[in-house]
Amino acid sequence: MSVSPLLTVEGMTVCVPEKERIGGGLGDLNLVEDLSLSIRPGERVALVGESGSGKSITARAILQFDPHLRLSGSIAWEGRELIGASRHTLRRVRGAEISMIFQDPMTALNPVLTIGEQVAEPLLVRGVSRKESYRRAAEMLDRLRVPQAKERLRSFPGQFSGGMRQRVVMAAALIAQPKLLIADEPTTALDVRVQEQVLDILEEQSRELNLAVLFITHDLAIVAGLAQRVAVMFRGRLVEDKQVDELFAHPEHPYTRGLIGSVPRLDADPDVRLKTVADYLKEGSAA
Amino acid sequence: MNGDVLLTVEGLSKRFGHGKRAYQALEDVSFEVRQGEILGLVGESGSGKSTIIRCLVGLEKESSGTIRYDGIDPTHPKHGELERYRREVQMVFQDPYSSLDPRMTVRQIVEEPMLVFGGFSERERRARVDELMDIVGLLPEHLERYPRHFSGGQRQRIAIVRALVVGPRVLLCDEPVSALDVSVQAQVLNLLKDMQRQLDLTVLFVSHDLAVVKYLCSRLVVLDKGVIAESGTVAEIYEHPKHPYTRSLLEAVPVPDPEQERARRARRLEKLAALS
Repeated sequence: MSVSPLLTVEGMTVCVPEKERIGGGLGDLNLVEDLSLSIRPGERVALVGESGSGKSITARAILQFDPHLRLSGSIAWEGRELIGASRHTLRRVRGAEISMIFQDPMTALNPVLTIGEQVAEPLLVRGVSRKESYRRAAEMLDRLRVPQAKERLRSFPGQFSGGMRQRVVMAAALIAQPKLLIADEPTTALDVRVQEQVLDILEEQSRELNLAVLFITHDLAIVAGLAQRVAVMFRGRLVEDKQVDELFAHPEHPYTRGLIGSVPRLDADPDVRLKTVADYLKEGSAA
Repeated sequence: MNGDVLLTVEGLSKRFGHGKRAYQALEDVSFEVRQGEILGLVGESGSGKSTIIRCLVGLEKESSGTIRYDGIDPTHPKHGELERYRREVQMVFQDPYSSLDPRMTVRQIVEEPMLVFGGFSERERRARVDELMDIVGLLPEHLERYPRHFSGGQRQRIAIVRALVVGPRVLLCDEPVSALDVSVQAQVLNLLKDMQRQLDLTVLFVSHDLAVVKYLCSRLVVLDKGVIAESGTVAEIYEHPKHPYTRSLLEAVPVPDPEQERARRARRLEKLAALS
Protein backbone atom coordinates (compact mmCIF):
# COMPACT_ATOMS: atom_id res chain seq x y z
CA MET A 1 0.00 0.00 0.00
CA SER A 2 1.30 3.38 -0.90
CA VAL A 3 -1.26 5.41 1.02
CA SER A 4 0.59 8.10 2.92
CA PRO A 5 0.55 7.57 6.68
CA LEU A 6 -1.79 9.48 8.95
CA LEU A 7 0.64 9.61 11.78
CA THR A 8 4.40 9.41 11.52
CA VAL A 9 6.45 9.39 14.68
CA GLU A 10 10.14 9.67 14.03
CA GLY A 11 12.99 9.42 16.48
CA MET A 12 10.73 10.47 19.33
CA THR A 13 12.34 10.70 22.76
CA VAL A 14 10.29 11.43 25.87
CA CYS A 15 12.34 12.79 28.71
CA VAL A 16 11.54 13.70 32.32
CA PRO A 17 13.74 16.68 33.21
CA GLU A 18 15.67 16.23 36.45
CA LYS A 19 13.63 18.79 38.40
CA GLU A 20 10.36 17.04 37.54
CA ARG A 21 11.47 13.61 38.68
CA ILE A 22 9.30 12.15 41.41
CA GLY A 23 11.49 10.77 44.15
CA GLY A 24 14.28 13.04 42.97
CA GLY A 25 16.61 10.80 40.99
CA LEU A 26 19.70 12.31 39.45
CA GLY A 27 19.82 13.56 35.89
CA ASP A 28 17.22 13.62 33.15
CA LEU A 29 15.42 10.36 32.59
CA ASN A 30 14.42 9.10 29.16
CA LEU A 31 11.15 7.17 29.33
CA VAL A 32 11.00 6.55 25.60
CA GLU A 33 14.02 6.63 23.38
CA ASP A 34 14.28 7.14 19.66
CA LEU A 35 10.91 5.65 18.80
CA SER A 36 9.65 5.56 15.23
CA LEU A 37 6.18 4.37 14.29
CA SER A 38 3.72 5.15 11.55
CA ILE A 39 0.03 4.45 11.16
CA ARG A 40 -1.89 4.54 7.89
CA PRO A 41 -5.59 5.42 7.54
CA GLY A 42 -7.76 2.57 8.76
CA GLU A 43 -4.83 0.55 10.01
CA ARG A 44 -4.99 -1.24 13.35
CA VAL A 45 -1.66 -1.23 15.12
CA ALA A 46 -0.99 -2.80 18.50
CA LEU A 47 1.65 -1.36 20.80
CA VAL A 48 2.64 -4.12 23.20
CA GLY A 49 4.88 -4.20 26.26
CA GLU A 50 4.82 -4.71 30.01
CA SER A 51 4.11 -1.98 32.52
CA GLY A 52 6.97 0.46 32.60
CA SER A 53 7.98 -0.23 29.01
CA GLY A 54 6.78 3.20 27.90
CA LYS A 55 3.77 2.28 25.81
CA SER A 56 1.27 4.49 27.60
CA ILE A 57 3.74 7.36 27.72
CA THR A 58 4.17 7.02 23.95
CA ALA A 59 0.42 7.28 23.46
CA ARG A 60 0.12 10.22 25.80
CA ALA A 61 3.07 11.92 24.13
CA ILE A 62 1.34 11.79 20.74
CA LEU A 63 -1.48 13.91 22.20
CA GLN A 64 0.91 15.77 24.51
CA PHE A 65 -1.09 15.22 27.66
CA ASP A 66 1.89 15.76 29.96
CA PRO A 67 3.29 19.27 29.51
CA HIS A 68 6.13 18.71 32.00
CA LEU A 69 7.71 16.03 29.78
CA ARG A 70 10.26 17.10 27.20
CA LEU A 71 9.63 15.74 23.71
CA SER A 72 12.13 15.63 20.92
CA GLY A 73 12.10 14.11 17.47
CA SER A 74 9.05 14.46 15.30
CA ILE A 75 5.35 13.61 15.50
CA ALA A 76 3.74 14.38 12.15
CA TRP A 77 -0.04 14.23 11.90
CA GLU A 78 -1.21 14.38 8.28
CA GLY A 79 1.95 16.24 7.45
CA ARG A 80 1.65 18.75 10.30
CA GLU A 81 4.25 18.72 13.05
CA LEU A 82 2.67 18.30 16.49
CA ILE A 83 5.76 18.80 18.64
CA GLY A 84 5.87 22.49 19.41
CA ALA A 85 2.44 23.06 17.87
CA SER A 86 0.27 25.80 19.38
CA ARG A 87 -2.32 24.99 22.03
CA HIS A 88 -4.94 26.01 19.53
CA THR A 89 -3.77 23.41 17.00
CA LEU A 90 -3.53 20.70 19.64
CA ARG A 91 -7.04 21.42 20.85
CA ARG A 92 -8.32 20.98 17.33
CA VAL A 93 -6.51 17.68 16.91
CA ARG A 94 -7.45 16.20 20.27
CA GLY A 95 -10.85 14.55 20.24
CA ALA A 96 -11.76 15.58 16.71
CA GLU A 97 -8.89 14.01 14.77
CA ILE A 98 -7.14 11.83 17.34
CA SER A 99 -9.21 10.45 20.19
CA MET A 100 -8.22 8.37 23.16
CA ILE A 101 -9.91 5.89 25.48
CA PHE A 102 -8.51 4.62 28.73
CA GLN A 103 -8.28 1.46 30.73
CA ASP A 104 -10.81 2.06 33.40
CA PRO A 105 -14.30 3.01 32.23
CA MET A 106 -15.29 3.57 35.85
CA THR A 107 -13.02 6.57 36.27
CA ALA A 108 -13.14 7.88 32.70
CA LEU A 109 -16.76 8.95 33.09
CA ASN A 110 -18.08 11.69 35.34
CA PRO A 111 -20.52 10.06 37.77
CA VAL A 112 -22.73 13.15 38.14
CA LEU A 113 -23.28 13.86 34.45
CA THR A 114 -25.72 11.89 32.31
CA ILE A 115 -24.50 9.57 29.57
CA GLY A 116 -26.01 11.91 27.00
CA GLU A 117 -24.13 14.95 28.29
CA GLN A 118 -20.84 13.07 28.19
CA VAL A 119 -21.25 11.45 24.79
CA ALA A 120 -22.53 14.67 23.19
CA GLU A 121 -19.91 16.91 24.79
CA PRO A 122 -17.29 16.69 22.01
CA LEU A 123 -19.94 18.03 19.59
CA LEU A 124 -21.37 20.62 21.97
CA VAL A 125 -17.97 22.21 22.56
CA ARG A 126 -17.52 22.44 18.82
CA GLY A 127 -20.71 24.45 18.45
CA VAL A 128 -23.11 21.79 17.23
CA SER A 129 -26.68 22.42 18.42
CA ARG A 130 -27.93 20.58 21.48
CA LYS A 131 -30.65 18.75 19.62
CA GLU A 132 -28.36 17.59 16.86
CA SER A 133 -25.62 16.58 19.34
CA TYR A 134 -28.01 14.41 21.33
CA ARG A 135 -29.44 12.87 18.20
CA ARG A 136 -25.96 11.87 17.08
CA ALA A 137 -25.08 10.67 20.58
CA ALA A 138 -28.03 8.29 20.49
CA GLU A 139 -27.04 7.18 17.02
CA MET A 140 -23.47 6.51 18.10
CA LEU A 141 -24.53 4.51 21.17
CA ASP A 142 -26.84 2.52 18.97
CA ARG A 143 -23.96 1.77 16.58
CA LEU A 144 -21.99 0.42 19.53
CA ARG A 145 -24.95 -1.80 20.40
CA VAL A 146 -26.06 -0.10 23.58
CA PRO A 147 -29.67 -1.23 23.87
CA GLN A 148 -32.36 1.49 23.97
CA ALA A 149 -29.76 4.13 23.30
CA LYS A 150 -32.17 7.04 23.16
CA GLU A 151 -33.69 6.32 26.57
CA ARG A 152 -30.30 5.57 28.12
CA LEU A 153 -29.05 9.11 27.33
CA ARG A 154 -30.66 10.24 30.57
CA SER A 155 -29.02 7.51 32.67
CA PHE A 156 -25.95 7.99 34.80
CA PRO A 157 -22.70 5.98 34.52
CA GLY A 158 -23.47 4.23 37.83
CA GLN A 159 -26.44 2.53 36.21
CA PHE A 160 -24.22 0.89 33.58
CA SER A 161 -22.08 -2.23 33.77
CA GLY A 162 -18.36 -2.11 32.98
CA GLY A 163 -18.75 -3.28 29.38
CA MET A 164 -21.57 -0.80 28.74
CA ARG A 165 -19.51 2.01 30.26
CA GLN A 166 -16.60 1.22 27.97
CA ARG A 167 -19.03 1.49 25.04
CA VAL A 168 -20.15 4.89 26.33
CA VAL A 169 -16.52 6.00 26.54
CA MET A 170 -15.98 4.74 23.00
CA ALA A 171 -19.08 6.57 21.78
CA ALA A 172 -17.78 9.82 23.26
CA ALA A 173 -14.40 9.22 21.65
CA LEU A 174 -15.84 8.44 18.22
CA ILE A 175 -18.68 10.95 17.98
CA ALA A 176 -16.56 13.75 16.53
CA GLN A 177 -15.38 11.33 13.81
CA PRO A 178 -11.68 11.14 14.55
CA LYS A 179 -9.36 9.42 12.11
CA LEU A 180 -7.26 7.78 14.79
CA LEU A 181 -8.37 6.21 18.04
CA ILE A 182 -5.76 5.50 20.70
CA ALA A 183 -7.04 2.78 23.01
CA ASP A 184 -4.97 2.35 26.16
CA GLU A 185 -5.73 -1.12 27.59
CA PRO A 186 -9.47 -0.63 27.05
CA THR A 187 -10.46 -4.16 28.07
CA THR A 188 -8.09 -4.94 30.94
CA ALA A 189 -10.77 -4.15 33.52
CA LEU A 190 -13.41 -6.29 31.80
CA ASP A 191 -14.50 -9.93 31.97
CA VAL A 192 -13.43 -12.19 29.11
CA ARG A 193 -16.82 -12.39 27.44
CA VAL A 194 -17.36 -8.65 27.70
CA GLN A 195 -13.81 -8.06 26.51
CA GLU A 196 -14.60 -10.02 23.40
CA GLN A 197 -17.69 -7.93 22.67
CA VAL A 198 -15.81 -4.67 23.12
CA LEU A 199 -12.97 -5.85 20.86
CA ASP A 200 -15.43 -6.96 18.19
CA ILE A 201 -17.15 -3.58 18.26
CA LEU A 202 -13.81 -1.83 18.04
CA GLU A 203 -12.80 -3.86 15.02
CA GLU A 204 -16.16 -3.33 13.35
CA GLN A 205 -15.99 0.44 13.82
CA SER A 206 -12.47 0.50 12.52
CA ARG A 207 -13.60 -1.27 9.34
CA GLU A 208 -16.80 0.69 8.80
CA LEU A 209 -15.43 4.16 9.54
CA ASN A 210 -11.96 3.54 8.12
CA LEU A 211 -10.74 4.41 11.58
CA ALA A 212 -7.08 3.86 12.42
CA VAL A 213 -6.55 2.33 15.87
CA LEU A 214 -3.47 2.34 18.07
CA PHE A 215 -4.21 -0.41 20.56
CA ILE A 216 -2.07 -0.49 23.68
CA THR A 217 -1.90 -3.67 25.71
CA HIS A 218 0.36 -6.01 27.65
CA ASP A 219 -1.41 -9.09 26.34
CA LEU A 220 -0.47 -10.25 22.85
CA ALA A 221 -3.26 -12.81 22.77
CA ILE A 222 -6.01 -10.21 22.62
CA VAL A 223 -4.51 -8.33 19.69
CA ALA A 224 -3.67 -11.42 17.64
CA GLY A 225 -7.01 -11.30 15.82
CA LEU A 226 -7.50 -7.55 15.99
CA ALA A 227 -4.35 -5.83 14.83
CA GLN A 228 -2.77 -5.89 11.39
CA ARG A 229 0.56 -4.81 12.74
CA VAL A 230 2.22 -5.21 16.12
CA ALA A 231 4.95 -3.05 17.62
CA VAL A 232 6.70 -4.34 20.71
CA MET A 233 8.21 -2.01 23.29
CA PHE A 234 10.81 -3.03 25.84
CA ARG A 235 12.44 -0.66 28.33
CA GLY A 236 11.49 2.47 26.43
CA ARG A 237 12.54 1.24 23.02
CA LEU A 238 10.77 -0.31 20.08
CA VAL A 239 12.31 -3.74 19.62
CA GLU A 240 10.10 -5.14 16.89
CA ASP A 241 7.49 -3.79 14.46
CA LYS A 242 5.93 -6.26 12.03
CA GLN A 243 2.79 -7.53 10.37
CA VAL A 244 0.87 -9.60 12.90
CA ASP A 245 1.25 -13.00 11.20
CA GLU A 246 4.94 -12.47 10.68
CA LEU A 247 5.42 -11.46 14.30
CA PHE A 248 3.72 -14.54 15.72
CA ALA A 249 5.38 -16.85 13.22
CA HIS A 250 8.90 -15.45 13.58
CA PRO A 251 9.29 -13.40 16.71
CA GLU A 252 12.86 -12.14 16.59
CA HIS A 253 13.49 -10.42 19.88
CA PRO A 254 13.68 -12.72 22.93
CA TYR A 255 11.31 -10.36 24.73
CA THR A 256 8.67 -10.83 22.02
CA ARG A 257 9.14 -14.59 22.24
CA GLY A 258 8.67 -14.26 25.99
CA LEU A 259 5.45 -12.29 25.63
CA ILE A 260 4.02 -14.94 23.32
CA GLY A 261 5.34 -17.94 25.23
CA SER A 262 4.60 -16.96 28.82
CA VAL A 263 0.82 -16.78 28.38
CA PRO A 264 -0.99 -19.85 29.73
CA ARG A 265 -2.90 -21.46 26.86
CA LEU A 266 -5.94 -23.68 26.82
CA ASP A 267 -4.28 -26.03 24.34
CA ALA A 268 -1.09 -26.39 26.39
CA ASP A 269 -0.13 -29.27 28.65
CA PRO A 270 -0.49 -28.03 32.24
CA ASP A 271 2.38 -30.25 33.37
CA VAL A 272 4.86 -28.38 31.22
CA ARG A 273 6.25 -25.58 33.31
CA LEU A 274 5.43 -22.10 32.02
CA LYS A 275 8.48 -20.24 30.81
CA THR A 276 8.65 -16.70 32.09
CA VAL A 277 9.75 -13.67 30.12
CA ALA A 278 12.92 -13.66 32.22
CA ASP A 279 13.70 -17.22 31.00
CA TYR A 280 13.42 -16.11 27.38
CA LEU A 281 15.59 -13.08 27.97
CA LYS A 282 18.24 -15.25 29.59
CA GLU A 283 18.19 -17.64 26.62
CA GLY A 284 18.42 -14.66 24.29
CA SER A 285 21.51 -13.24 25.93
CA ALA A 286 23.14 -16.68 26.14
CA ALA A 287 22.59 -17.38 22.44
CA MET B 1 -2.28 -37.05 52.56
CA ASN B 2 -3.86 -36.50 49.22
CA GLY B 3 -7.57 -36.92 48.93
CA ASP B 4 -8.88 -36.31 52.46
CA VAL B 5 -11.46 -33.57 52.53
CA LEU B 6 -10.02 -30.62 54.40
CA LEU B 7 -12.55 -27.88 53.80
CA THR B 8 -16.25 -28.31 53.21
CA VAL B 9 -18.68 -25.63 52.17
CA GLU B 10 -22.31 -26.68 52.33
CA GLY B 11 -25.41 -24.85 51.23
CA LEU B 12 -23.69 -21.51 51.46
CA SER B 13 -25.99 -18.58 50.70
CA LYS B 14 -25.32 -14.91 51.01
CA ARG B 15 -27.80 -12.09 50.65
CA PHE B 16 -26.79 -8.46 50.61
CA GLY B 17 -29.36 -5.85 51.62
CA HIS B 18 -32.94 -6.30 52.71
CA GLY B 19 -36.43 -6.61 51.29
CA LYS B 20 -36.94 -5.48 47.73
CA ARG B 21 -33.40 -4.28 47.24
CA ALA B 22 -31.80 -7.49 48.47
CA TYR B 23 -29.30 -9.14 46.21
CA GLN B 24 -28.68 -12.86 46.31
CA ALA B 25 -24.92 -13.10 45.83
CA LEU B 26 -24.65 -16.80 46.58
CA GLU B 27 -27.31 -19.47 46.54
CA ASP B 28 -26.86 -22.90 48.01
CA VAL B 29 -23.21 -23.34 47.07
CA SER B 30 -21.60 -26.60 48.15
CA PHE B 31 -18.15 -27.95 47.40
CA GLU B 32 -15.23 -29.70 49.02
CA VAL B 33 -11.55 -28.93 48.97
CA ARG B 34 -9.26 -31.90 49.43
CA GLN B 35 -5.93 -31.89 51.18
CA GLY B 36 -3.08 -31.02 48.80
CA GLU B 37 -5.12 -30.00 45.77
CA ILE B 38 -5.51 -26.70 43.94
CA LEU B 39 -9.20 -26.10 43.43
CA GLY B 40 -10.17 -23.42 40.93
CA LEU B 41 -13.19 -21.22 41.56
CA VAL B 42 -14.17 -19.72 38.23
CA GLY B 43 -16.71 -17.14 37.18
CA GLU B 44 -17.18 -13.62 35.90
CA SER B 45 -17.44 -10.53 38.06
CA GLY B 46 -20.63 -10.74 40.06
CA SER B 47 -20.65 -14.54 40.07
CA GLY B 48 -19.93 -14.62 43.80
CA LYS B 49 -16.49 -16.16 43.75
CA SER B 50 -14.91 -13.47 45.91
CA THR B 51 -17.90 -13.57 48.27
CA ILE B 52 -17.18 -17.24 48.94
CA ILE B 53 -13.60 -16.44 49.88
CA ARG B 54 -14.72 -13.53 52.03
CA CYS B 55 -17.20 -15.76 53.85
CA LEU B 56 -14.45 -18.33 54.39
CA VAL B 57 -12.15 -15.86 56.11
CA GLY B 58 -14.95 -14.17 57.98
CA LEU B 59 -14.89 -10.84 56.15
CA GLU B 60 -18.54 -11.48 55.32
CA LYS B 61 -21.12 -13.33 57.38
CA GLU B 62 -22.99 -15.93 55.37
CA SER B 63 -26.81 -15.80 55.42
CA SER B 64 -27.06 -19.56 55.71
CA GLY B 65 -24.99 -22.65 55.17
CA THR B 66 -22.05 -24.18 56.94
CA ILE B 67 -18.29 -24.11 56.61
CA ARG B 68 -16.24 -26.97 58.06
CA TYR B 69 -12.49 -27.00 58.22
CA ASP B 70 -10.77 -30.03 59.72
CA GLY B 71 -13.43 -30.42 62.40
CA ILE B 72 -13.75 -26.70 63.04
CA ASP B 73 -16.84 -24.63 62.38
CA PRO B 74 -15.32 -21.15 62.15
CA THR B 75 -18.68 -19.46 62.62
CA HIS B 76 -19.32 -21.31 65.90
CA PRO B 77 -15.80 -22.01 67.15
CA LYS B 78 -15.00 -23.75 70.40
CA HIS B 79 -12.26 -22.41 72.62
CA GLY B 80 -9.03 -21.83 70.69
CA GLU B 81 -10.40 -23.14 67.42
CA LEU B 82 -10.73 -19.77 65.75
CA GLU B 83 -7.09 -19.00 66.34
CA ARG B 84 -6.04 -22.29 64.78
CA TYR B 85 -8.38 -21.70 61.83
CA ARG B 86 -7.05 -18.23 61.21
CA ARG B 87 -3.51 -19.42 61.38
CA GLU B 88 -3.99 -22.39 59.09
CA VAL B 89 -6.15 -20.65 56.50
CA GLN B 90 -4.36 -17.69 54.96
CA MET B 91 -5.26 -15.37 52.14
CA VAL B 92 -3.63 -13.61 49.18
CA PHE B 93 -5.59 -10.70 47.76
CA GLN B 94 -6.10 -9.61 44.18
CA ASP B 95 -4.46 -6.25 44.18
CA PRO B 96 -0.90 -6.13 45.53
CA TYR B 97 -1.01 -2.35 45.25
CA SER B 98 -3.65 -1.93 47.94
CA SER B 99 -3.11 -5.01 50.10
CA LEU B 100 0.31 -3.96 51.42
CA ASP B 101 0.59 -1.09 53.90
CA PRO B 102 2.70 1.60 52.14
CA ARG B 103 4.11 2.84 55.45
CA MET B 104 5.50 -0.47 56.60
CA THR B 105 8.78 -1.95 55.43
CA VAL B 106 8.68 -5.37 53.82
CA ARG B 107 10.14 -6.87 57.00
CA GLN B 108 7.37 -5.33 59.13
CA ILE B 109 4.75 -6.57 56.68
CA VAL B 110 5.91 -10.16 56.54
CA GLU B 111 6.70 -10.43 60.27
CA GLU B 112 3.39 -9.00 61.41
CA PRO B 113 1.37 -12.25 61.20
CA MET B 114 3.93 -13.97 63.47
CA LEU B 115 3.68 -11.16 66.00
CA VAL B 116 -0.11 -11.31 65.91
CA PHE B 117 -0.20 -15.05 66.58
CA GLY B 118 2.74 -14.92 68.96
CA GLY B 119 5.02 -17.75 69.95
CA PHE B 120 7.80 -16.92 67.51
CA SER B 121 11.13 -15.79 68.92
CA GLU B 122 12.98 -13.05 67.12
CA ARG B 123 15.49 -15.52 65.77
CA GLU B 124 12.71 -17.79 64.55
CA ARG B 125 10.98 -14.89 62.85
CA ARG B 126 14.14 -13.89 61.03
CA ALA B 127 14.88 -17.43 59.98
CA ARG B 128 11.39 -18.01 58.57
CA VAL B 129 11.35 -14.70 56.74
CA ASP B 130 14.80 -15.27 55.24
CA GLU B 131 13.89 -18.76 54.12
CA LEU B 132 10.62 -17.73 52.44
CA MET B 133 12.09 -14.62 50.83
CA ASP B 134 14.70 -16.85 49.29
CA ILE B 135 12.12 -19.36 48.04
CA VAL B 136 10.03 -16.69 46.32
CA GLY B 137 13.12 -15.16 44.76
CA LEU B 138 13.43 -11.92 46.71
CA LEU B 139 16.71 -10.69 48.17
CA PRO B 140 17.50 -10.10 51.88
CA GLU B 141 18.13 -6.39 51.23
CA HIS B 142 14.56 -6.05 49.96
CA LEU B 143 13.34 -6.48 53.54
CA GLU B 144 14.23 -2.93 54.53
CA ARG B 145 12.47 -1.33 51.57
CA TYR B 146 8.88 -0.13 51.22
CA PRO B 147 6.18 -1.60 48.94
CA ARG B 148 6.41 1.35 46.56
CA HIS B 149 9.89 0.24 45.56
CA PHE B 150 8.56 -2.97 44.06
CA SER B 151 6.83 -3.97 40.86
CA GLY B 152 3.43 -5.65 40.90
CA GLY B 153 4.88 -9.14 40.58
CA GLN B 154 7.35 -8.55 43.41
CA ARG B 155 4.58 -7.15 45.59
CA GLN B 156 2.45 -10.19 45.01
CA ARG B 157 5.41 -12.35 46.07
CA ILE B 158 5.69 -10.28 49.27
CA ALA B 159 1.99 -10.90 49.87
CA ILE B 160 2.57 -14.62 49.38
CA VAL B 161 5.43 -14.59 51.92
CA ARG B 162 3.16 -12.80 54.39
CA ALA B 163 0.51 -15.47 53.93
CA LEU B 164 2.93 -18.39 54.25
CA VAL B 165 4.99 -17.17 57.16
CA VAL B 166 2.81 -18.65 59.90
CA GLY B 167 2.81 -22.05 58.22
CA PRO B 168 -0.76 -22.32 56.93
CA ARG B 169 -2.24 -25.48 55.43
CA VAL B 170 -4.72 -23.69 53.19
CA LEU B 171 -4.10 -20.71 50.95
CA LEU B 172 -7.07 -18.74 49.62
CA CYS B 173 -6.06 -16.77 46.53
CA ASP B 174 -8.49 -14.17 45.21
CA GLU B 175 -7.43 -13.49 41.60
CA PRO B 176 -3.78 -13.15 42.60
CA VAL B 177 -2.53 -12.63 39.05
CA SER B 178 -5.31 -10.65 37.40
CA ALA B 179 -3.75 -7.30 38.35
CA LEU B 180 -0.40 -8.36 36.92
CA ASP B 181 1.09 -8.09 33.46
CA VAL B 182 1.25 -11.31 31.48
CA SER B 183 5.02 -11.05 31.65
CA VAL B 184 5.08 -11.48 35.44
CA GLN B 185 1.93 -13.57 35.70
CA ALA B 186 3.90 -16.68 34.71
CA GLN B 187 6.37 -16.10 37.57
CA VAL B 188 3.66 -15.89 40.20
CA LEU B 189 1.82 -18.93 38.79
CA ASN B 190 4.99 -21.01 38.83
CA LEU B 191 5.70 -19.82 42.35
CA LEU B 192 2.25 -20.86 43.57
CA LYS B 193 2.64 -24.25 41.93
CA ASP B 194 6.08 -24.77 43.53
CA MET B 195 4.88 -23.61 46.95
CA GLN B 196 1.91 -25.91 46.81
CA ARG B 197 4.16 -28.90 46.09
CA GLN B 198 6.97 -28.06 48.49
CA LEU B 199 4.77 -27.16 51.43
CA ASP B 200 1.93 -29.57 50.62
CA LEU B 201 -0.48 -26.65 50.59
CA THR B 202 -4.13 -26.82 49.77
CA VAL B 203 -5.10 -23.91 47.56
CA LEU B 204 -8.43 -22.40 46.68
CA PHE B 205 -7.70 -20.35 43.58
CA VAL B 206 -10.25 -17.80 42.42
CA SER B 207 -9.92 -16.67 38.83
CA HIS B 208 -11.83 -15.57 35.78
CA ASP B 209 -9.10 -16.79 33.44
CA LEU B 210 -9.73 -20.35 32.33
CA ALA B 211 -6.30 -20.74 30.78
CA VAL B 212 -4.66 -19.87 34.10
CA VAL B 213 -6.95 -22.27 35.97
CA LYS B 214 -6.12 -25.06 33.56
CA TYR B 215 -2.42 -24.57 34.16
CA LEU B 216 -2.70 -24.52 37.93
CA CYS B 217 -5.68 -26.48 39.16
CA SER B 218 -6.68 -30.11 39.35
CA ARG B 219 -10.40 -29.56 39.88
CA LEU B 220 -12.66 -26.59 39.39
CA VAL B 221 -16.02 -25.17 40.34
CA VAL B 222 -17.75 -22.89 37.82
CA LEU B 223 -20.00 -20.22 39.30
CA ASP B 224 -22.68 -18.37 37.41
CA LYS B 225 -24.54 -15.58 39.24
CA GLY B 226 -24.06 -17.11 42.65
CA VAL B 227 -25.03 -20.64 41.65
CA ILE B 228 -22.71 -23.50 40.79
CA ALA B 229 -23.03 -24.16 37.07
CA GLU B 230 -20.84 -27.24 37.14
CA SER B 231 -17.86 -28.74 38.88
CA GLY B 232 -15.43 -31.52 38.16
CA THR B 233 -11.86 -32.30 37.25
CA VAL B 234 -10.01 -30.06 34.86
CA ALA B 235 -9.92 -32.84 32.27
CA GLU B 236 -13.69 -33.39 32.41
CA ILE B 237 -14.69 -29.79 32.20
CA TYR B 238 -12.21 -28.67 29.55
CA GLU B 239 -12.87 -31.69 27.34
CA HIS B 240 -16.62 -31.86 27.81
CA PRO B 241 -18.10 -28.71 29.27
CA LYS B 242 -21.72 -29.51 30.02
CA HIS B 243 -23.09 -26.14 30.97
CA PRO B 244 -23.55 -23.50 28.23
CA TYR B 245 -22.07 -20.89 30.56
CA THR B 246 -18.84 -22.86 30.88
CA ARG B 247 -18.73 -23.32 27.11
CA SER B 248 -19.13 -19.60 26.49
CA LEU B 249 -16.38 -18.83 29.01
CA LEU B 250 -14.07 -21.32 27.32
CA GLU B 251 -14.80 -19.90 23.90
CA ALA B 252 -13.93 -16.39 25.06
CA VAL B 253 -10.35 -17.17 26.07
CA PRO B 254 -8.07 -15.41 23.59
CA VAL B 255 -5.32 -17.45 21.93
CA PRO B 256 -1.95 -15.92 21.02
CA ASP B 257 -2.29 -16.98 17.39
CA PRO B 258 -3.53 -14.61 14.67
CA GLU B 259 -5.12 -17.23 12.45
CA GLN B 260 -7.05 -18.93 15.23
CA GLU B 261 -8.17 -15.58 16.59
CA ARG B 262 -9.47 -14.40 13.21
CA ALA B 263 -11.30 -17.68 12.72
CA ARG B 264 -12.86 -17.31 16.16
CA ARG B 265 -14.02 -13.79 15.39
CA ALA B 266 -15.53 -14.91 12.09
CA ARG B 267 -17.45 -17.66 13.90
CA ARG B 268 -18.75 -15.17 16.46
CA LEU B 269 -19.91 -12.73 13.83
CA GLU B 270 -21.66 -15.53 11.97
CA LYS B 271 -23.48 -16.49 15.14
CA LEU B 272 -24.48 -12.86 15.71
CA ALA B 273 -25.72 -12.55 12.16
CA ALA B 274 -27.71 -15.75 12.54
CA LEU B 275 -29.37 -14.38 15.67
CA SER B 276 -30.51 -11.11 14.14
